[in-house]
Amino acid sequence: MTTVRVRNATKTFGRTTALDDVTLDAGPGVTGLLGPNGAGKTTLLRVIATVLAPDRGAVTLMGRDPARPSDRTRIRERLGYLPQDAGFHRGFTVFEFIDYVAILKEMTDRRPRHDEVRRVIALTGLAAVSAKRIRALSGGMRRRVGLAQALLGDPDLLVLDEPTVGLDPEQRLRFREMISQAGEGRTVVMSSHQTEDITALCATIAVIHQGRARFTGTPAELTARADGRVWTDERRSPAAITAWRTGDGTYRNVGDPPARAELIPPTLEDAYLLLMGEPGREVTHS
Amino acid sequence: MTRSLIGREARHLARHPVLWLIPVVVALTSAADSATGGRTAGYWYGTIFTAVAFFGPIIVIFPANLVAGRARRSRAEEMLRVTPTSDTDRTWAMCLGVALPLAAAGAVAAGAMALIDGGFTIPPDDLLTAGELAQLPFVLTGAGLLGVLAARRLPFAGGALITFVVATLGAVVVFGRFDSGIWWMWWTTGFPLEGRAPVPGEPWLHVVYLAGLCACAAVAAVYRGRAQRTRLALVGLPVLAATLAVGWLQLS
Repeated sequence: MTTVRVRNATKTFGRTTALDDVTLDAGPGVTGLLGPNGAGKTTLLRVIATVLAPDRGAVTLMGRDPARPSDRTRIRERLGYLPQDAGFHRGFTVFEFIDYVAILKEMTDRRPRHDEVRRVIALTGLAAVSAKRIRALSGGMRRRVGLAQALLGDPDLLVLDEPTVGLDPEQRLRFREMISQAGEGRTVVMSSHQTEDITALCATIAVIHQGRARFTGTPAELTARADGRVWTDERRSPAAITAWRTGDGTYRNVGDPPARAELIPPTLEDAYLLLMGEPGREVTHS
Repeated sequence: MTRSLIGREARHLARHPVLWLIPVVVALTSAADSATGGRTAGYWYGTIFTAVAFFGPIIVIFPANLVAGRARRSRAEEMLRVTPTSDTDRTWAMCLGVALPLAAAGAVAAGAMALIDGGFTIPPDDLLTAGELAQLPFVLTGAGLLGVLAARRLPFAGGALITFVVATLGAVVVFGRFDSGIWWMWWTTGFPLEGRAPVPGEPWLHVVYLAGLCACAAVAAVYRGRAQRTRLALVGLPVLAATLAVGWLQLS
């Protein structure tokens, strides 16, 4: 079942083309958008989250057209969204803020609403700080508040923009766990420029670069594109698109290997770097 | 729009620390006042009037603006926009959440003044008619709605201050045209005007006029943007026309 269907979406801001003829499908499970800063991931997520409408192209979310006001309202009833720079009413406590969002999500009956607020607070590990003011929380805790409000009402579609940015390794792992749980039975579309997060979480990925979808498929399919193109050497190879010195003193080279190069298994990051280094190539795996 | 949302907005306003400057300022000015005639019933009658008709509106515009603009200031707007509650409904709830408690506070003050009048002798020059007392809730409410309007129409730092300055300069202009324009003013006709007798008019019509101004502010705050222009015209123009008509009727 396809929850998110984006067809040939184009979005411009003045002279900048943020999205250029992007097509994307996402169904239950976690779909990742990977790409460098300024690639258009956030614009695509804002389109999927009904914040923006594309200038051209079609978007269908949960079978409805977000361009129609009545459909948009129905979509928003089943949508959770965590923006990249999520701000919070800092004077509110965690509970107050999430409760306020719950009211905006039309949970009008006080008791079931409070039960739901407590549920998402527990789910995101915020129970101990639910009475604390948001301004007193760390950046990681605030991201959890953002995730908690997105999870209110058990939405069918969860849109998360760079959910792990700025988190320390432990917090990132906790977040991964929460997102993977959230992806069970519902559609999660998340962006990241961290290939580790995408590898760990996503069944499907789309690599976005300069507003275009450069790759759509599974992480394994993207990784397979780098088979035979990663090797180690005592020095940086001139044939490498990119290379770096590893901890053991050898160089990891990514590109077109010379004859008799010592090939090693690629990672998603290697494949991503190769794709970024090959402009104009677009690949879609069904 | 739900009662929960209106109630929540009202609670946010009631808990805003800037709002609580009103009793503080009134207490300080009252303490500094030498009260040569003693702190009589007439003194408290005048103090309540000053709190509601002067300090209240001046101060209330700011907390109302801060409450209505907090999502923008805290950069939470995008997160809150993607909820089934539309921006229009949120703004209506904000207007009602600000208007209802302020109207209630104004009504309580007017009621207290009426009680004092019933139990004690108030100097005739200070005494307000029932129509003038009825204006008090709308003066407070109007100031609050002006704060919401500024938050929605001037969404940048200083928007409330600009609104306040414009309203004050407008007041100066109306004062300058005292003899012909007193009934156009956006405050109570019971306001003492430097010993000058007010021109004849109907205080109850001024109540309706002030209510019309409140409605104009709310409609202008709610219907914004290109997509809402038709609705703004369809709802706003009749409200504005009715308000102006009542304004003219006061002068006749």
